[in-house]
Amino acid sequence: MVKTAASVAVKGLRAWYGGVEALRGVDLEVGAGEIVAIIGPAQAGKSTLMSCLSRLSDEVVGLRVEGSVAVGGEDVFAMRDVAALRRRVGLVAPLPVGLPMSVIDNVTYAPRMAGARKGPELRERAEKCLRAAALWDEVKDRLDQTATRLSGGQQQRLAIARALSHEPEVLCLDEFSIAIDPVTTARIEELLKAMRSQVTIVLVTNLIHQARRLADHTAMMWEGRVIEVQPTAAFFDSPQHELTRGYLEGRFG
Amino acid sequence: MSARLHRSRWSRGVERLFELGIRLGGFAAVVLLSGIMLFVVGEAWPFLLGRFDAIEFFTSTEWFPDSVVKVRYGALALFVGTLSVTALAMVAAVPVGLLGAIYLAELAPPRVREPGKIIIELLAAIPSVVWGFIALTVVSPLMVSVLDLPVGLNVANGALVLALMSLPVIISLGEDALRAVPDSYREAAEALGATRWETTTRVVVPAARNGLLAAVLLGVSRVVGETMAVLMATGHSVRIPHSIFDPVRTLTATIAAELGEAPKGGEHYRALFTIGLCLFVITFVINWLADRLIRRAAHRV
Repeated sequence: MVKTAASVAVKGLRAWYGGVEALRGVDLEVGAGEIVAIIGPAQAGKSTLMSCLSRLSDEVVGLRVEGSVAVGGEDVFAMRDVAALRRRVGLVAPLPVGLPMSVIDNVTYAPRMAGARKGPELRERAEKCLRAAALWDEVKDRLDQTATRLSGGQQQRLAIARALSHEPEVLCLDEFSIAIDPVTTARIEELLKAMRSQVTIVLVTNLIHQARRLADHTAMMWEGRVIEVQPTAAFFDSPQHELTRGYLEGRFG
Repeated sequence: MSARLHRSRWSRGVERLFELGIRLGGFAAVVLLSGIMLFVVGEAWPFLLGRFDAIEFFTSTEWFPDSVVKVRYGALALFVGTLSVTALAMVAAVPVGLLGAIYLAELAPPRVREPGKIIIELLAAIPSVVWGFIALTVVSPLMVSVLDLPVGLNVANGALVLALMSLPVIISLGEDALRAVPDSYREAAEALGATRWETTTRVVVPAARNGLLAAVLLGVSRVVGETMAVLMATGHSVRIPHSIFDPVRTLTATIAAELGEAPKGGEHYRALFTIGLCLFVITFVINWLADRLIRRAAHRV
């Protein structure tokens, strides 16, 4: 399910939506196999940063990007094969999306696009991914049903299974838990911890405690910049930046 | 509810008036439409009870309503005429229309999409008699000279004109159906490494499937009911065509051509209303199907 983790290095990343500057020079280093959490208020540029990691930013009309992102030491923006990059860097979006095909097809779609043949091997791989997303037991009897019939929480776990299906080196989770209940979230968090060191995880979250539970390092974003990165324990115990302190103490409401 | 109790008498009066107006409008629409239906059924009724012979009507090609020797009401050739023109028109219009919708919704840059939509909606506004005129004066001579046919008024000509007429319906409704697919679907597919084309064919089109089907069916019902253009383009010959270059006559064209000559209240007149009733049933079934599909689509998203 997972090959090898890759490091991520973001340097001087800037992005504009038309005239609005969303990223103002982001620097962030994520070691291979680490879990890094990114917190910060809305409009801080967290999702824009995530979209640059697998160049989904290419698809956004009117978005211009400058600076560099390297995955496993390779410059992302210089890559010819965007599809291959996106298989190396998986993404789970905030809102659950079951693609309009069967459950099993959702999880085998990416491998099939990459050339995998249908067969017992692919099915086994799909099962592994569904288990890793804590969804297997609920869908094992309805693998051939349309995925859009699943509940919201199930569709979100399906999205996680799908992101694992192409054996990513980096897994980006953009507020993956806003549509899932706390118990299921806890199960998935356990699975993410278990995957540590096999895959690099970049986690955007609004749940400060989720960052604390999961992350090796935590980063604070503010108005298009990463203003502070520290090992998670230090980040929460002794935040250096004034704004981080305010954010963690709940001074912003 | 409690807020309502405190409203002034004046505002309550205005609200009542609005309610009454809306009620009346809705009621009028229902009454008028069911009135039309009752009228058609009523005019056809004596024929259906009397001279009408289902076997003759649906299986004979002998349509001699004015014959002095032997009057016949075999409408098979007319049904086949409508069916052949409609089928050929849809064979041409459905792929082109769906590809056009996909292009406009998924692939065209905004500066092409907006003018494109306007032009297509303008196409829908061309009166059908103008299409018939084009069929007569442009398509027909072209067919005669290029394909070396004796006459240019035939199934192919009618189907071509009908296809052009149904394209705006299919494209603009199809485009709406595709636009209604949430962007999160496209983003999810792209995140898996799908190209624009793979995203469109494997994710967006299947998600919009029911809406696209409804667009096609509404295009079909537009084509089935079309009269003027087919009357002018298909050559007006009551027989079962052997090739797409044979002239035919459709159900609609028969009514338009013969109603003026049929004495009101006579057998011929009522036979034409029976044809009208058949058309009504056909379009009703198609619209009902389209409606059901749209509802199913709404449920799923």
